[in-house]
Amino acid sequence: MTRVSFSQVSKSFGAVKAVSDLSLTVCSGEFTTILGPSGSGKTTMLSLIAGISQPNTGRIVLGDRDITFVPAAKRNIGLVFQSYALFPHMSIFDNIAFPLRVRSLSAAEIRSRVEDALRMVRLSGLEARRPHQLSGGQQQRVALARAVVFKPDILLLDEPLAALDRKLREEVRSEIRALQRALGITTIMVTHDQEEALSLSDRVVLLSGGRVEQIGTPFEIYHQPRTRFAAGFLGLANFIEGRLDPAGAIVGSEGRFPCASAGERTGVVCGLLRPEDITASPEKGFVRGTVRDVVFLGEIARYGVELDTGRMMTVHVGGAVGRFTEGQPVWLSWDPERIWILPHEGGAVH
Amino acid sequence: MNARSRLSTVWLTVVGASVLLFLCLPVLIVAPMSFSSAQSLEFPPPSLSLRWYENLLGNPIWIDAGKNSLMLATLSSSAAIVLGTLAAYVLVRGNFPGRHLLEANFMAPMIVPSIITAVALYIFFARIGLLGSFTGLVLGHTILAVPYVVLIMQAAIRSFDIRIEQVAATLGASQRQILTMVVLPNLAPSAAAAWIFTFVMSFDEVVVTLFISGTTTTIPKRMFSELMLQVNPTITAVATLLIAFNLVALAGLLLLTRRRGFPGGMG
Repeated sequence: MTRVSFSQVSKSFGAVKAVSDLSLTVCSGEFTTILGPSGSGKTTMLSLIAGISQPNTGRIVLGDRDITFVPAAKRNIGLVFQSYALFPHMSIFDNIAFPLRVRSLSAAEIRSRVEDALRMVRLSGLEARRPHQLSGGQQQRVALARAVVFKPDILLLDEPLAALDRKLREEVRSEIRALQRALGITTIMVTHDQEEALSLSDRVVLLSGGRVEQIGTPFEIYHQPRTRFAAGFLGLANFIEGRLDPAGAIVGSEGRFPCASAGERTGVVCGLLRPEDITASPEKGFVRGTVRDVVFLGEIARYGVELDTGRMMTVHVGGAVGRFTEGQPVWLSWDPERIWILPHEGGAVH
Repeated sequence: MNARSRLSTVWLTVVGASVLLFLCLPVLIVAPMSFSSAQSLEFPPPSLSLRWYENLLGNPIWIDAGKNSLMLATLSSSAAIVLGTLAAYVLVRGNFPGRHLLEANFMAPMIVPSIITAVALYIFFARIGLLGSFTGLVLGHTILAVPYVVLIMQAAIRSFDIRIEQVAATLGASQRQILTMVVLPNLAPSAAAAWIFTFVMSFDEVVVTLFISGTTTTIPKRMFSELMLQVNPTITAVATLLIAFNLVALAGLLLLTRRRGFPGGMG
């Protein structure tokens, strides 16, 4: 019912193409994250859906309505900005009542719906306060309540957690997820934060340079990226380039890296090996190297290991397992299944 | 180092205080003179009296001029606020060809010497039959005041987060509702400040007034013609009242701009 689809949407600002020829469907009831670095066109997409700006070409369809040129006020879309954008001169009650008042609902109806919304975001009792009297997290929840109180078809979130400190961020994150589940509302969030994208979404749309790089579940995007960009944007990646040996390895100038069968692929490929999939041990493994760099991160330690061939590998070691110091020789090994051959990379001989 | 910085602090204080004293000198002389009992302008006053204030307030010509000035300033600054705020909103938020030209046009009366504006208005009003009318005078003062309103309100609108307006639109508010329910209430303190500012300006204006007011008398105009005829200490009483009035207005401005969350603050 309330799926959103983009078909061949382009938007330029002067000579800069912010979004080019983009097609995409966001499914009803899902939590979709548009993820990308700054300048990837994600904020432009958000403003196109919200009706703050219009595309140069293409169509945007909400449910079965073509909303490409429908003014923002007629779209029935809830929007939460990173800066909250609360009305500074109004009380919390009036802020949340605003969308209901412009729809000319009765005073009794407004009161009961605002009270419900406040209860939902656990802010009952703060009706009379002004926005500046609330903490950042509370303001964010008011913005959220205001964006859903009029039962919009979809909810848009623009970097909703970016302005909050780390601890609060996790709290608001689970709150947003719970709210989205409870309302079953189609939600589109824009962010550059991979952790936010992975933890909140049903599906992630990875953007780069105004184009869709990959669409998939957080698991797919993280473990089965299609391109180097996708692999590198989410988490840390070791890329292994070389010729595919049918015996089960990628062989290149940097060494021999055992991997499981790569299906149809032959020839030169690019494999992805995540740092947490590598085991470091003093006992013999697949490749040998020397620890060059140790970064302690609490739950894990990150090692920079220089292989005998000269190539650097990033390795994550969890907990107290295996402590190494700089300059110490170390063997690396992994489950060959964990090397993912990037389907859209390789082919050309470097 | 320390001694040097102390020396420069002392030096800065001396210079600052001297400039302030110089600027206040007219006030420091005029105010005591207005309370003088002497027949002519004399400083220091031989003895104190309120006779010039009695003279002023008992004179229907001055009372009449005062009423005209108040009426004129109220009407012209109110008209300028309405026109200037709407213009500022369009100039800041609008995106259309010729915007900069339009902005320059709104600023022009502030840059063009007022004598030029006065002559232009004189000729124009003479043609359309408004010369010497009170309406013409209000229009003239409005034209002079609008650039200042546009300037102050542009700053205020620029510093008001456009995303608040965008959110209001997504929440279902029409353009008119956004303006009346969201933008204007937040601009009210700036608008009040601009109103006081233009009110004082109109109250002081003399050049354009001399050209187009005909028989209507305002306080500055009356002061001017009074000075031409005779030097009478009544004028010092008027000046003192005007200074007091300006101080009150200034205090009002400061109070308004010190309020929390005031967009485009001037203080």
